[in-house]
Amino acid sequence: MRIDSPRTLRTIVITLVVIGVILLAFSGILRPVFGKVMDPFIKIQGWLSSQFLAVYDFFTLPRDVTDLIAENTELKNEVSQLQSQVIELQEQLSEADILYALLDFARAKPENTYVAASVIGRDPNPFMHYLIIDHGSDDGLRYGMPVVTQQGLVGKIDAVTASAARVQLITDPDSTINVRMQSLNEEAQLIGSITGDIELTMIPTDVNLQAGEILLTSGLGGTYPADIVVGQVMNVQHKENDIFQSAVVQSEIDFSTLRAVLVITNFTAIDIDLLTND
Amino acid sequence: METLLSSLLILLFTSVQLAVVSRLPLQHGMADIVLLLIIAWSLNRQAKHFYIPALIAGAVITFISSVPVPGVLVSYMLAAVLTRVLVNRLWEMPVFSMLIITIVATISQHLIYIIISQIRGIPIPLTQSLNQITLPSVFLNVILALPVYLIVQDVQKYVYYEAENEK
Repeated sequence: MRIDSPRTLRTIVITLVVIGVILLAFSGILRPVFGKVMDPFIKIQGWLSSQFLAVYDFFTLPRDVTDLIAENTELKNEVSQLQSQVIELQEQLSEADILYALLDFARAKPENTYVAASVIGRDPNPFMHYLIIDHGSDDGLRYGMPVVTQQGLVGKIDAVTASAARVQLITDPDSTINVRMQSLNEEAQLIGSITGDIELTMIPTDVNLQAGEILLTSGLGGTYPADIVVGQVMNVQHKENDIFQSAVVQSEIDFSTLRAVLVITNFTAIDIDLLTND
Repeated sequence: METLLSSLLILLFTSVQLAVVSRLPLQHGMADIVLLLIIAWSLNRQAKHFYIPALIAGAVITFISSVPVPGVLVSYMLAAVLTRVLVNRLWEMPVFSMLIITIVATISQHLIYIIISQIRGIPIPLTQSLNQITLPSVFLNVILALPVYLIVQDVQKYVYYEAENEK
């Protein structure tokens, strides 16, 4: 092969031009030129890529929807589980609130000893108003012990078994409580009824009783200890020819939703029937 | 088997009565599902010892309730006997008999409670009792009569099917 032959010279020139172009490209001088040349290719590449992804999505999306549906169901289950947990916790919180309130009441009256009990049932007889609680003689409960909440007097224990007790409410038609009017310092009797309303009777006519008067147990008769809040006078009824006035009384306790109570265990009811009967 | 299953049913119904039904009053009346159980049990002519559930339920409820001793027992026995007397004289369809006997038995039961309360010196105004306690109780008992009847029928099918198989 001869160096001065035209073919060899052409090859050398082409090689030098290519090397020169490569060196120019590396040095960045040809960047604007490359940009202009490559732009159409990049655009075509972009268009092709987007078309491919569209086709890919078309075939793979149904599988993703199925996955999403499954995931959604799973999340829904989780949400319902969490909701039931929230309800359970709210229930526990509500019970804790009741117990804290009872504890506050018990702390406020340290002279008494208490046993806390839950209400587990109601008497099936609609004419009477009794509750059934989950503590009995094994827990120190005895007949006649007063039952209270932080809102006032609930009633007294009427029957006891080893692990449960029946409580006669102050709304029972057979219930009679001797009470004292807080501001007037007068005494009267509170009686229940079949409808659960409580009425204040035996109020002397000269007593100027007003609505809003707070009633407390008087302790007379030995059935209840003195100074437990019983209720508030709502409406006074005074007829001209009557010997006594009467009044409608509202207890602060909602007996239909009562869930926990305190039994005062250091009070022994006195049965004065033995003294009054012949 | 009959006594055992009826006793279990009575205990279950008593628990539901104390914990649930007694807490769902209508005005001041409430349903008595134990009474309905006794009526439904006595409606089945195959139940020869129909008075046994009435006696057991009477004893259980007397122990729990504030009603004086003979009250519950008398009212439940009366309901059982009344059902047995009327079952052949009313419609052939026991469901209708159940509804009629439920109404009669509820009113009778409340009359017994009122009489006993009056004897004990507890003032029970008759008109107020009828309007606010007895009529709502009758209504609730009639509503619950059908489901109780169906439950008891299912249990009795099992009891008497087993008894026939043993023969």
